Amino acid sequence: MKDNQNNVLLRVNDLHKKFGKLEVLQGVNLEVNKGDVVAIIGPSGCGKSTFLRCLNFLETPNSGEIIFNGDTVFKNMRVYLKRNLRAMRAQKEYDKELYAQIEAEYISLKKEEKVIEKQMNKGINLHRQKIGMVFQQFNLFPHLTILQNITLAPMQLKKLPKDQANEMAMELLKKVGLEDKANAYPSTLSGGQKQRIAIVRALAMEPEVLLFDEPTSALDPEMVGEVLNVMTELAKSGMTMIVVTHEMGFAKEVANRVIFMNDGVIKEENSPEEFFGNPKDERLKEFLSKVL
Amino acid sequence: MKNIEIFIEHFITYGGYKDYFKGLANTAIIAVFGLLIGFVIGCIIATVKIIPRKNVFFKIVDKIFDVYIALFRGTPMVVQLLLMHFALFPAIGLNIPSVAEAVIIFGLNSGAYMAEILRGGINAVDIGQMEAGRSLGFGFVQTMIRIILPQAIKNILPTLGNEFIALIKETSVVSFIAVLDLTKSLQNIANSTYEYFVPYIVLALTYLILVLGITALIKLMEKRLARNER
Ligand SMILES: Nc1ncnc2c1ncn2[C@@H]1O[C@H](COP(=O)(O)OP(=O)(O)O)[C@@H](O)[C@H]1O
Ligand SMILES: [Mg+2]
Repeated sequence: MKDNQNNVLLRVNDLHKKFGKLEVLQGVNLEVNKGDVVAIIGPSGCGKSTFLRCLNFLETPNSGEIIFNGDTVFKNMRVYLKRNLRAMRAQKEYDKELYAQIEAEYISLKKEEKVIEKQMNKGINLHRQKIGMVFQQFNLFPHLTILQNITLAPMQLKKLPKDQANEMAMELLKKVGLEDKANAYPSTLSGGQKQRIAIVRALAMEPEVLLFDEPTSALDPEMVGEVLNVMTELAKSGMTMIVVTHEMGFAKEVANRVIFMNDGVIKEENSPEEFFGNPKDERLKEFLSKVL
Repeated sequence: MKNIEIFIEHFITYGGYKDYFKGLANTAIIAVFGLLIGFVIGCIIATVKIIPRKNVFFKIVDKIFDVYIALFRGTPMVVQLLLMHFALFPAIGLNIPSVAEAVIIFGLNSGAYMAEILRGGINAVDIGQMEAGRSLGFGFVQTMIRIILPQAIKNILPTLGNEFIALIKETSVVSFIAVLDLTKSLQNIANSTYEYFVPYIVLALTYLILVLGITALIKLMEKRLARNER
């Protein structure tokens, strides 16, 4: 169960997610190393958000495996075996020996996976503390000041003393150039400022990876730059980031890996130079010709 | 003029004011504590009702809450008072002062209404708020208490105020279970002097002042909350 390569932060194996009959994720495989900046691009509705949300369990995947920092935080492989068993039973004549083999595997997996599920249900809040998320719509808490927005989670969840939390928040605010807004309420801020605060709020929990779901898509064009600058600085500081974005400039200049998602799977993955200079997937070529 | 003299004589000289203030206090106690109990019940029910994927336990609890809401919203306040004071409470051997009984019954009644009000308020809070709270690592209940409910309550403050005012006015029926409230205290004066005009005018004015005072207070609170976010 343990991941030996300690440089790997996140490993996703064959992740599936359905909404009703619609299978949004159809087997996503991904490995993210510490310090990676992964840009995910792809047409609207292809499952990018769903994939990010599965990583911190805002959505529960149906099957597959998620290994975070060497710990298996999600595992459900038995659905396939179950389906196979059912298909075999449906036939009049089938290999009884093979059936017994699969059945034994199914039973042992079931036990293991139940244990993982239980651990996950208990540890889900702890898991989320290690994974920061930045939303398209910012989702700042409107009833709290900027400072309170940032310090709420560290104080409540990590029991950080108030003065220390405030000090840390002010330091982070200085980094994004918004220290004068500490006591303002979110409704007084521009979109770009709100998103910078949302990034700071996530950073205040000192997460091991930050997920961005189209962080600049809700912004007026003139505010996109200020948010991308903050993200670029973060990337330079060594933060591990997974960024769903339509900003091809960011994917090219800042990311070290670019991923094209379509039809619920990862169609292509490469370094930015190769990805944009020499795309292979037909749909990717078509997509790039539209957005570039 | 004679009417007023009779009233004042009874009110001051014969000690009618003692009952009046006692009645006023009881009315306030029943309304305020009834509201608080109702608020807590309402928060719990509304929270259970919006849990996304309920397990069997919560599904059953949810059904029980539905029955509770239907019962308390589907019967008159007076009937609830009579039923509980004369039938249910004696049956379970509950022996407490009538005022405490009234607080419980009004709390239960108000809880049924408050649950619906709060649910509306919670539903009006953007779903992204819950997701942001959860993504930081807060549990469901923690997110409710720290992030969702403060916003929901702000949304429904005017409605809550109306509920409180309605509750104050409704307390006037507690004399059915022998609680000395505001209404009862002035009724007593009227009955013993055979002079009805002044006592009932005073009664009406007292309620009016209470209600207007609370209305002003709520307006003030709303303004302060609104200013917070400008
Ligand atoms: N909670 C949900 N319930 C039902 N369908 C959903 C839900 N969330 C997303 N979907 C559907 O899943 C598909 C992928 O959505 P999403 O992951 O948001 O795509 P993207 O972020 O790439 O635009 C869309 O067709 C969307 O309608
Ligand atoms: Mg999306």
